[in-house]
Amino acid sequence: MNSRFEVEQDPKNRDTYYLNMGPQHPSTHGVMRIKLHLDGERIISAEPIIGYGHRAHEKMAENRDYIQFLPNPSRVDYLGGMIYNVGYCQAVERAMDIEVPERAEYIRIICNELNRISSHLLWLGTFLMDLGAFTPFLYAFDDREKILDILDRITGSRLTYCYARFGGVILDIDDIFLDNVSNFCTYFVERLKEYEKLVIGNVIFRERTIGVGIFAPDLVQKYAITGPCLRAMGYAHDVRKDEPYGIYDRFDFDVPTQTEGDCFARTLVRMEEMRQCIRIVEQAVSDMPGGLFLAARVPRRIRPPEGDYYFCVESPRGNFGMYIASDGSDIPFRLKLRTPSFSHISTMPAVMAGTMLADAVAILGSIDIVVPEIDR
Amino acid sequence: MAQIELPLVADNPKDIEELREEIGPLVHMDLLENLLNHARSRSLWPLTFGLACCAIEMMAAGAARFDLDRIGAGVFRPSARQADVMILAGTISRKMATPIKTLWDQMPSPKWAIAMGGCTIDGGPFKYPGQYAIVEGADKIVPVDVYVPGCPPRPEALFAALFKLEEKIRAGKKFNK
Amino acid sequence: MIADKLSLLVLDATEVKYDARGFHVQHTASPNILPQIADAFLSENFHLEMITCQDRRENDNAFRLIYQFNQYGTPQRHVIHADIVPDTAAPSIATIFPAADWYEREIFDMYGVTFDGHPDLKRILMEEDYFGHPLLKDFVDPPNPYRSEDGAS
Repeated sequence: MNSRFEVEQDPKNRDTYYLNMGPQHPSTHGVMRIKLHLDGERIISAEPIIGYGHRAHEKMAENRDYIQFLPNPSRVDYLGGMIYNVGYCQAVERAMDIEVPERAEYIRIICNELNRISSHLLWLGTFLMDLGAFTPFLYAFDDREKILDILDRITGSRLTYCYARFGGVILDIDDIFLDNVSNFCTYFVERLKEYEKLVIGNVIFRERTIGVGIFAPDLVQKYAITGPCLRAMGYAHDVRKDEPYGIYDRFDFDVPTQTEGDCFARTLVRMEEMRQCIRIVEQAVSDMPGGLFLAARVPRRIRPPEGDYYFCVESPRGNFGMYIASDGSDIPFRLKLRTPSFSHISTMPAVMAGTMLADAVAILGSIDIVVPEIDR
Repeated sequence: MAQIELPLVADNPKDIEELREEIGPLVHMDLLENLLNHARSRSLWPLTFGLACCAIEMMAAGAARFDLDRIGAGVFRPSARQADVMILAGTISRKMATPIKTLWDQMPSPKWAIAMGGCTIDGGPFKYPGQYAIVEGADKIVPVDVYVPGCPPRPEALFAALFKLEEKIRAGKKFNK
Repeated sequence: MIADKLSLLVLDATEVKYDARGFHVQHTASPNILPQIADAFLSENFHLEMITCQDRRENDNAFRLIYQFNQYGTPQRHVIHADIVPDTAAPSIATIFPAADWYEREIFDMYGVTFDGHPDLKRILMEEDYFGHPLLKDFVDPPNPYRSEDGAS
């Protein structure tokens, strides 16, 4: 079994070397570099070096007004683009006190949760590909395309959505969309069982993940771990439950938890989360009200009153927060994006030290990083 | 592609010399080049290399529904030394510019580059006064063969780009980069 | 209780309307006592949600450091504002909350604010030999080969 070894502190009589993983490496999921100090195959220390995907979103926010920043959040985290896009709109809506029609709220919930499933599916595919399994990648992308088709039909884009607007959404949905969504739900619940059969029971997968990459309990508070990584350690913390934004408090869903905190637990949590997403979507589809999809009276100039605002949403990776400092003008004085991957990747020196090189890949895959989200 | 007619009778050595001058060298390298280009265009091996959002669409193009393997371009190579085509999928930050150049130099000739997405064409959505972090256009670092607009381009657009590249390769240009 | 511990440390505390602002209490503190504040939050099971900075040199001649602490479960967000004079160092809390390590590096990278007692203060997002601090309000990107000079935005 995989257990940690003690790092020998005396460097005498020992050949150690440095290995660069990245910036171009298939399992860093983008452009990130990890400087590994190795003793044979054992990792003595790991130092993530980030910034290779830095695109200056925050400077951009200080140069354009609130409306012009709308397309950006979905490019910060392109896997959960809808959630970020909606989250940014909700942040500004709360600052400006804009009422959102019921129908728009329900549409947002459906899109959010479908997006969360597609993000988790992509994570499943790429994580297992990192571990050497190619088939789940094809399965996961096949199902992901089905979600993208549904969202594509109403939003017009496959990945970087810009669907939400201040006060609602830009286009209305129709009955065909609702039919598609409910058909997908019935299909996907069955499909999830297949995934579980394919992945969870697999001996190689279990050997590679059980007991690997355990987050020590004291890391949680010191590094502010959130999202599935936190829930895999036994904390039932979910922003949708604890601090419900939008209309999440109306839905009945569970927060799946595991206690081990290893790569396997994180997998189980995400698998179960997909099932809970389906539950939320089904409830939203059956309760879908009529009416407006975009508030009739939205101020033309978006000028939040002077002061600081913080809004956080549950992204597929964890707790995504937007800190907006307004000086009362059209342009944010400061907009800080608090991204979960940034916190998670900063734990890597503590988590990776004392594991094997092959485990580093598994750990990195299991925490589900999106590099432009780390670098912003 | 001129047809080669080999002289059947060679009685007089002088005639052969004359014939040679008429028909040129006996071995026509352009035929071989054509054959090679044909082969190259049908088996483009891209580098596994995603920069940002477009990389996900590149993966989607390689996955079950779109399946780049149908046109022989699905063999993603993790090592630059085995790859033919570099798909620059996503925003290039200035910190990343040097590694990309290194990767490009590591790829064996003949090699091609596809600039996928608005960011690699001219900076795309991230080009604005005050921008300090990105390279405004992949052609500032590597010679680009095909540009694919979109933010991100759909997998179909990537296919179209690969077809365009195949055409370009088959047209028989010399790519001595 | 965190409020009692903080009342001894911070200069003032304002209750904020959570429904409008997203956090509960806003404190102003002198930067010197940031480590004590961090200790107080650590002992009360809070986590450091983020650190950020504002360039307020134009109006207040100061950089404002913003520390945000929260707890799991029912949210209880405390925001600490600490103004520091340009060209002075703030104390680092990276030894108390390791999460602060990267946030402080980011602030150093983007604003040039230095932190005393940080284990390894170096640039994080930009190259290590980069010349400026991009998020300063008066930062100008000089002409360079990576820029198109067509002037379009």
